[in-house]
Amino acid sequence: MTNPSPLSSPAIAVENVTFDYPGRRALDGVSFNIPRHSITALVGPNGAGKTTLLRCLAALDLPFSGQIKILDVDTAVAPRTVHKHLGYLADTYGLYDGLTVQQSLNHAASLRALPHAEISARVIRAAQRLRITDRLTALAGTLSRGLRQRLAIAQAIIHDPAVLLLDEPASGLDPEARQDLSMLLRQLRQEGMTIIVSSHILAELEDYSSEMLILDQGRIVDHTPIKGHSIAAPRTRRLVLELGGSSDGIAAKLALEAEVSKINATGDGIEFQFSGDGTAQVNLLKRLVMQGVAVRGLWERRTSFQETYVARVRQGREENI
Amino acid sequence: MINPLLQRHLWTDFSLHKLLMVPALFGSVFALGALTVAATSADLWGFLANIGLTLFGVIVLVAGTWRAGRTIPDQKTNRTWENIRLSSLSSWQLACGELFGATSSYWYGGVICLLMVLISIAVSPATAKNIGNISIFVFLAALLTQVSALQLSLSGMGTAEHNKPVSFMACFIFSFIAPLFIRQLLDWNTATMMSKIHISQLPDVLLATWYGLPISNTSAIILSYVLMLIWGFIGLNQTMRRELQMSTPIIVWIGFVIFCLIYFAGFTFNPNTFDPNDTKNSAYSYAPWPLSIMMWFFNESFSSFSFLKEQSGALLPLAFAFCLCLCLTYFMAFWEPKDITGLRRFKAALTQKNWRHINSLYPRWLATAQISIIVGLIFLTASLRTSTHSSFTLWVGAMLLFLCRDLGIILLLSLQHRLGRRSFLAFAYLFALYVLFPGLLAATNGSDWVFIFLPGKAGSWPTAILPPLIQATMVWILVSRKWRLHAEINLARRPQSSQNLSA
Repeated sequence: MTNPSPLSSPAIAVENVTFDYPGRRALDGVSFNIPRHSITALVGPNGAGKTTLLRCLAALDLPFSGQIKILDVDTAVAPRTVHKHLGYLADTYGLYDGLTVQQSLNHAASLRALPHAEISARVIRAAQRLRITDRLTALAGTLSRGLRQRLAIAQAIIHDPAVLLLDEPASGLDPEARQDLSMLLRQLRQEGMTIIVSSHILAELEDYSSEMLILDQGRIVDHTPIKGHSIAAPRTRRLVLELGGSSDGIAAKLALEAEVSKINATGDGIEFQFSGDGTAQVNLLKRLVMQGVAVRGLWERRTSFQETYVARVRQGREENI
Repeated sequence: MINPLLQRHLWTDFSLHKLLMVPALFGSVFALGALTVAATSADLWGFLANIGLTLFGVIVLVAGTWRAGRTIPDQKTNRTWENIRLSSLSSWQLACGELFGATSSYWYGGVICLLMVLISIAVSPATAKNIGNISIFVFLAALLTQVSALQLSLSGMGTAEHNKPVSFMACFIFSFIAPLFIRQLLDWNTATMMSKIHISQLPDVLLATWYGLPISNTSAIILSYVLMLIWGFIGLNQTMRRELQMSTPIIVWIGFVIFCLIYFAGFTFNPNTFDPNDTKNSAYSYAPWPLSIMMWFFNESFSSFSFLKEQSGALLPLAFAFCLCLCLTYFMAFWEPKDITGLRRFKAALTQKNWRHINSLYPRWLATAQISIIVGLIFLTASLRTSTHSSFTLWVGAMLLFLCRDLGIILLLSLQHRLGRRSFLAFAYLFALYVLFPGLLAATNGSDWVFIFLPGKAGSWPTAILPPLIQATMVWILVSRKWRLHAEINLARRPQSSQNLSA
């Protein structure tokens, strides 16, 4: 699929989007940019507006106000152009139960107006990617839930879209299939696809997502790169200082350090927030040892995806009260 | 390359079993019919042609229409329609693929039946005379009802995900309105036309007139079916365009309404047809249904149709056009989705003078109501100028205001987002206003006050205008309040600090 816009611009640009259902505001001034070739985890509680946002991004619904650009194409101005560059899997998708897997993929390829000569090869490729080649002659209606999910994803990517939107793609998949999905998404990202995945299974999102977009009550609570995937430097870290002796007076010594803040004494040591980089951390350790502090260890407390999500959602709600 | 939607339907709806079974079954029915008739002196080929035509009607006209009305609601329920909306197909491909794909298996059976009819016609010329025209009518009517059912099922839903699919039965019933209306109008026209010709001068073929021009009744019906079929396809294409998020200019709908008014009113232009003294003529005993429905609902004098006789040549088409437009307005007011978000979107487009969006979002019921008001005002002006104004003129004047009140009621109930079946509720309200309340008044010796609820009961302009004017004003004040309340509900949570922390 050709990419019509310059590579420097974001793949998805959302600006002040508002969407209303009768009597309820589903999206409330939502703005964010998604860089190209990234996997963004769209997370949020039930009813946060994730599905509505994905439908607006897919140009299936038109926002009440605001602007959405997919590959620099405005969804309100040229929705059909957006559709061409997009793959979308709804949370409640459907399959034609009377068609075989091969016919389903063939139909999906025909709907995307792929050249007739290419269709067979595309069908095989999509089936191989989702590991359903052995089920090509099976009726979709006879497939297990996991296999149906794989078929639905295969249909969504059969035309190699530049942007892929997946709403709860892992629901119904067994652990092995989830692992396969994780690998597939990484592979698609490497091939140049920009992906947004909405899911409740946060641990898996952490495996392959490069960004996290938290939506709550129709508003963006947080949009942040995920460690390990981002080239951006982390802002602050929580460090834990394990001590071999008494912690008396050590908190006061740490308080004198410029990069240290939010110091808490824990059972076996002291936990604090550190804003310096790796070199600064080494220098801090040296200074503490030279001051006679019995250091048994200094390690970073990694905040899990789940913890970050919960903390940001709570913080967002407190700010709104 | 075959249309992907047609191909999918062929995959799902056809099997080798069905391909072989259907001709075998019909062949047996025809053989049984032939053997039964062969023993008698009845016309064998005529009998077989009748069986073929009856089966065609049942399979293609009835079952095919039912299927056409179900196909897209079924896909919406099964969550497969969104994939179609994201496809690269054009709106025409979508329209034709769904229409001919969904009904393909019915047409397969229907074509076998039509073959039997054609063979009968080829063998027996006498059969051709009787069955030929009917076959064409049924064939065109089947196409028209199928297009209508598919179009109605889609247009009644709207694209919003929260909209519920429409009733299959409603789509099925309403899809038969157009062909039945055409038949009734043309037969009525022919009956009035022929009643004026002396028996010695009767032509070989039944004649109808269109704005005074004679045309054979058969040709007029076929032409009307074909023209409505063309509009049906244009409408279906427009609805598919909306599903694909493409613009759907209101001008197409306005064009359809104006075409219907001008074209069908032409069959009521029949100078000197009505003779007020000729009360025995059977042609006067019934009228085309837009008129009769209006009279039944709004004027108790429908049994005499005196109003028809009061209209001179040019005014009758105008009166008919007004009644037809009223029917279309009420139909669209009930059928078209009117959720608050769509209306607010339209209002926002109006405020911003975004003509592209205005053109696309313009409610069809509103445009039709505006045309009704224009046609009504033209009729009033013409009627008052020619000094031929009558109780019907008063009825038109009052009806314009009752229409405003009724649209206000329908809109008010549409804005109640917590209510379930709003259209049904609106219908119940109108039923109470037009039937129950007047009935109660009449039953309690208050017949003189029935004009408050019935436009046809006013005896003067003040009594015709004031009651509906007051009612309409009150209803629209309520609509305005409800509208503001809705805006407040939705705007209660304004964006405070839309955060984009990584930006």
